[in-house]
Amino acid sequence: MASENDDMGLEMSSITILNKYSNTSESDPFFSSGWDPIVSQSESLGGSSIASHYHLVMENQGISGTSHVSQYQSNPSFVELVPKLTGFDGGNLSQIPGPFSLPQCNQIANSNERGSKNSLRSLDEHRISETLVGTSPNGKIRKRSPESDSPFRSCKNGNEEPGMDLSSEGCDGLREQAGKKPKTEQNLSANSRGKQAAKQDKDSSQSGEAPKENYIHVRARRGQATNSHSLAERLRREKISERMRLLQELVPGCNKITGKAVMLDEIINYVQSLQQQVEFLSMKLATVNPELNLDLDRILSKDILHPQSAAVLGFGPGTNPSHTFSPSTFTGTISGFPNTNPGFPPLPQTVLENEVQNLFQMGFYPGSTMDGFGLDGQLKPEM
Amino acid sequence: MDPRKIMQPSFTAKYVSYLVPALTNIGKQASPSVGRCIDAEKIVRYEIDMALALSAEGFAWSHALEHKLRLNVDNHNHAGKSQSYLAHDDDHRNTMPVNHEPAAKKLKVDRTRSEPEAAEEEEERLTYLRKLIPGGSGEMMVDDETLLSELGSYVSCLELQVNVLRSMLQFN
Repeated sequence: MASENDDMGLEMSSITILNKYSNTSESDPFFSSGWDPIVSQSESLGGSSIASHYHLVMENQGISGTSHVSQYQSNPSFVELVPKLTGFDGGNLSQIPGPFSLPQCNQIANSNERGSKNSLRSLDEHRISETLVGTSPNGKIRKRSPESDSPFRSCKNGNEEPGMDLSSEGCDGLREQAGKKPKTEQNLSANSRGKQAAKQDKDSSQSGEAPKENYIHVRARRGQATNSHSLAERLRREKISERMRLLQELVPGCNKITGKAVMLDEIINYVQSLQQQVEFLSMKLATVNPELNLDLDRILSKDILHPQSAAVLGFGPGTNPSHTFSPSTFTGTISGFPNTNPGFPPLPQTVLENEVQNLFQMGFYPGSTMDGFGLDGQLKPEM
Repeated sequence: MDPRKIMQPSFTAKYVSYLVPALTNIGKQASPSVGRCIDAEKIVRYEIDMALALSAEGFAWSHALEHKLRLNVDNHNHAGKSQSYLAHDDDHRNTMPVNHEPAAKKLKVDRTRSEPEAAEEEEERLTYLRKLIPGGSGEMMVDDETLLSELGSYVSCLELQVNVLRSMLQFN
């Protein structure tokens, strides 16, 4: 209890900042619903690991939902996230009260500076987007605040009203992050696309120049447009091309294509062909439906006896052979099945359900797998 | 590590575990009349799509697909059999055969055009892709990046779905 009190005391100074933050995340159905994976996954297929941090924070918050204080305590990744951005903006760190003070930030910032470039890049992008939208009236800041956590903004927007930011930041919370992140990006892309640079460029030019030198990984060269707007645009384009590259790997026969439009064409054709195949198979299935009772038996037996069977494991005739899939992953779950006798056990459906349950227990439920799918080929963000 | 290797077992397991019982139920309920055959196709198609949506939860497109399916089932139940039960299915059927060629034509034209027009071409293609993926015109995928991510997962899941369906049909 004593330690709790101490921690609470520690948190108290920052609670004024982060109070509403946690409260929002507590009571927020949005946060605890299934939309979390959507946000983090849909945005991060391309390999950005911002969603991973994002998801880390959200995940931790969701787990310890009882006490808002404990949420912060049990969220070391949150602390990590803080200095990453603040490290870039050294001049404004003095404005941050509470545990996220300067020396702490610097220590962690230095160690994290060489961290994953993806995360920095994405964080920076969100900083840019934040700068873009955040330099509008303060009322807008509150709504548009993206992923960066509250101490960041108070740290970053030094030229703005820190008090306002701190309090408004409290209202943002993960909910805002979760809810506004796509909107922010949308806003970003909409702005970039619509070329509505005037107001935001002027406002952001000041804060845009300061962080410019810190965006070492963004390659903001001299002579190129360095305002946040163009930087954001460039980052957005990089992100898009990153995802195009991933798509290129997915779609068979696209390894040598270099044009974006051509690539999109291939994707269109591939999606259409897949949909046509589904429709064809669906009609076929409807025709043979009465005999379907045997299917499960046969599928399961085939899988168990021949774990490398291509059909179910993704090596089907229509699949690109370059998409190698090590059957060990699948057989790892099935090998636990004791009966390899061709005389199949009488309850294959039960077995399948058990395997499904095993998969779920082993963490193969979509919450984790889809995250892994969304990342740079990495299952966990720490990798 | 290929993320699809991670996704595949759970997707396949869920897909099969949803679809097979569903199809079995259809087989039990359907009576062998001509009028029912058409419905059987639609029902099977519905179950196939629903299996896809449920096996790949967590994506914007899967949510959109599930939503559409449920919506259309409600419409179907209320409006009678005459109404097509899948609006998005109609989209597929309309866009697939009709627009398959124009996509290829765009391919040829694109190379002769200058850059700003190529950007427009890209935009056209992206718009077209939005029609293909469920929920593509929705608010979740307004972002181009989001759209591309969703496309990645959608393509992978479609592949898996095709493989599962093929394997289910292999032994008939």
